Amino acid sequence: MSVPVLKGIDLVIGQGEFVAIMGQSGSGKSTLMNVIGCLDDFDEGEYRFAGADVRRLSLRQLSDLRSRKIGFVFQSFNLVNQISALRNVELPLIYAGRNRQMRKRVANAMLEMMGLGDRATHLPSQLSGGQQQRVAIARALVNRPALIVADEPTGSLDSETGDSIMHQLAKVNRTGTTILLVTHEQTVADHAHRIIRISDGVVLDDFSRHSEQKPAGRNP
Amino acid sequence: MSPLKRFTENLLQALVSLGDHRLRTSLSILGITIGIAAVMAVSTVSKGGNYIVYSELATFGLNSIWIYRDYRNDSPHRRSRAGSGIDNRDLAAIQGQAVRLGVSRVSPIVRGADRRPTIRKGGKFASASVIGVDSDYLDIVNDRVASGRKFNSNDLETRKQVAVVGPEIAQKLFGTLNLAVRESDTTVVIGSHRFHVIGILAPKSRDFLASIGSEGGQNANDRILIPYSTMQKINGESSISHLQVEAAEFEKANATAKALQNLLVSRHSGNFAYSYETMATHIATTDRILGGVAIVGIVAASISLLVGGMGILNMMSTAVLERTREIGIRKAVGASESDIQHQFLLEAVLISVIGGLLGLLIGVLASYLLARITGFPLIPSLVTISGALLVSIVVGILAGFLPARRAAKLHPVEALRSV
Repeated sequence: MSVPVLKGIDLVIGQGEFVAIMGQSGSGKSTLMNVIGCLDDFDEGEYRFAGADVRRLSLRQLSDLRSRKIGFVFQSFNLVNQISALRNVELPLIYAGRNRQMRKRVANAMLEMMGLGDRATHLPSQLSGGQQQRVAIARALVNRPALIVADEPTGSLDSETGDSIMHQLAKVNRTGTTILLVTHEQTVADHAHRIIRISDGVVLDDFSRHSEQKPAGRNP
Repeated sequence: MSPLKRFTENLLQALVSLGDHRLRTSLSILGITIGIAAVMAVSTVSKGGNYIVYSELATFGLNSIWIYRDYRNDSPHRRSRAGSGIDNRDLAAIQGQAVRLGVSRVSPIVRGADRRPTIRKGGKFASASVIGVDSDYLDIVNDRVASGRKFNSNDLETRKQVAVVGPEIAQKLFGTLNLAVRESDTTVVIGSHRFHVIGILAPKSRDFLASIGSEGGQNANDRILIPYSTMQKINGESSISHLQVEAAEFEKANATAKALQNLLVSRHSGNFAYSYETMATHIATTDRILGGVAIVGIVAASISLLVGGMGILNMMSTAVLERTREIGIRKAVGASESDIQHQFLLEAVLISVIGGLLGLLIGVLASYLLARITGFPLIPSLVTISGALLVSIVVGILAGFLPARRAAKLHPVEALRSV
C-alpha cells in the first residue's frame, strides 16, 4: 500500500529560473525534487523535461538525461570518497561518453572556476565541507546542464560558507542555468527569485520575488 | 562512447575500487590463486603420471601384439594335445604374408625348461630370465644394444650360442657395461651351456610397472636374450612359446591380432585355441584408469576453485552493500544500469583473473620444479594454461553477476538515502 506524497502539483519552471522549493520535512519537497531531477519515478501525472515526456523515457535515456542535462548538489556533498576531486568532477563526463583529454581539461577548468584549482588531486576527505560542496557544484556543472537541482546545499555548512555557496549558485544562474533549490531555511531561499512553498504534497503558494525576474516565457 | 572506451573507463573505476580495499581484494585473489594452482597441480601431476606409465609401456613396444596358445579355451575333447601350438612353419607363414596381416615385425619367443637359470662366469653367479628371440625382437620392444652387437642372421641360422645380456647381468659378471675391454673373455655358462656374450643392452626403466608387480614389469635389466633357434636346439623341439608381433599401425593392432589368431587356428585345423593381447588394449585400459584418477583429482581441486569463487561472491555482495551510496551518486550523475553492472562485474573478473594468473604462475613454477626433481617433462601445455585462464574468467563472471546485477538495479533515490 503506497501513500501518495505529492498530490496535484502543477508547476511550470522556465529556463533560467532560480526557484526555491520550501517546506517542512515530510512535506514532499524532496520527492518533488527527485521527480524533477529525473531520479525518482512517479505513479500518476505527467512531467515534461525540455519537451520530453519523462515517463516515456527508458532507463538508459533517463540516465543519459541525468548525465547531460541535470546536475545535482546534495546536502551531504555526495562525492565518491575513493577518488580525487578531479575524478569526481569527471564522473558525469565519463558517463556522458566524453574523451579523456576533453574530460581532464573541462574538469580542471571547472575546479579552477570554483577556486579549487590547487585541490584537484585531493581526496574528498582532505577537503573542508565548503570545498567539498564546491567540488560537487563543479561536478554538477561540468556537463553544462540545463538544470541544477540543489538539495539543502548549505545544510551541512556554517552560515558564512553556506552564503558563499549560494553566491556561487546565483552566479551559475546568471549564465542561464535553471536552478532548483530545495531548502527549509528562509535565508537560503531568499537567494532565489521564485519561491514555491509546499506542504503535505500540495503547493501552498508560488510567487516571484523580483518582478524583473518573472518566469521567462513559461516555456520549459 | 565506443564499447572499448566504455570498457576501459569501467576497468579504471573497478581498479580504483579494488585498490581501495586491498586486504579484502588480496584475500579474494588468494582464494582463486589456490584454486587455479590446485587444478594446475593436479592436471600436471596426472599428466606426469601418464608420461611415466606411457614411457614404461613403450618399453614393451606400443604396437606390440602377443599371441599364444590358450589352454583354457581348448576343446575338452582335445585336452591331450601337447605343445604350444605355434611352430617355425607358423612363423614363416606369418612372415610370408606380413603385409596382408598388417604386421611390420614378428619375433618368436622361445623359453627354456628353466626360466631363470643360474649364470656363471668364473666365480661369479647371477640369475636371469633367459628367452630365445629373433633379431627383430630388439626393435619391437625398443631395446638398444649399448655395447657390442645384436644377433645377425648367421647367429640364427647356425644356432650359435651367443647372448645379449642386460646391464645388471653385465655389471655382476663383468663388472663393466663396456664389452670392448673384455673382448677376449666374454664366455659365460647359462645353466649348463657355454655362451659367448656379444652385446649388452642399454638400461631400461620399468620402475613404476615393476613396483605394481605386474609380470611384464619384471626387471628389464636382468634379461638375457639368445637366438630362438639356439633355444630350440637346447630344448630339443621346434615349438615357440608365443609370438611377439609389431603391428604396422597402432590403430589396427587389434584387427591384426585377430587375423593372426584366425590364421593360427586354421593352420592347425582348429586343434588349438589362441589368445592375444595388444598394447593398444592395455593403453586403452590405462587411459581409462588414469583418466578416472585425473577426473577425481580435478574435481577435488575444482572444489577449492569453487570456494574461491564463493569468496568473490561474498566480497562483491559486501561491496554492493557498503557502496550503495556510491552507486546512488554514480547513478545521479548519469551512470546507466549497464555502467554500474559492468563496473562491478569487472571488479569480480579482475579479482579472479589476477588470482588465476598468480595461480598459473605458481602452477607453472611448481611444474618446472617437479620436472627438475623427477626428470619428467611436466611442462603445462598451452591448453592447460588457456583453460585455467578461461575458467578463472568464468568464475569471476559467475561470482560477480548477481552482486553486479543487484548494484545495477538499485534505485538511485533509495541508494542515495543509505548511509
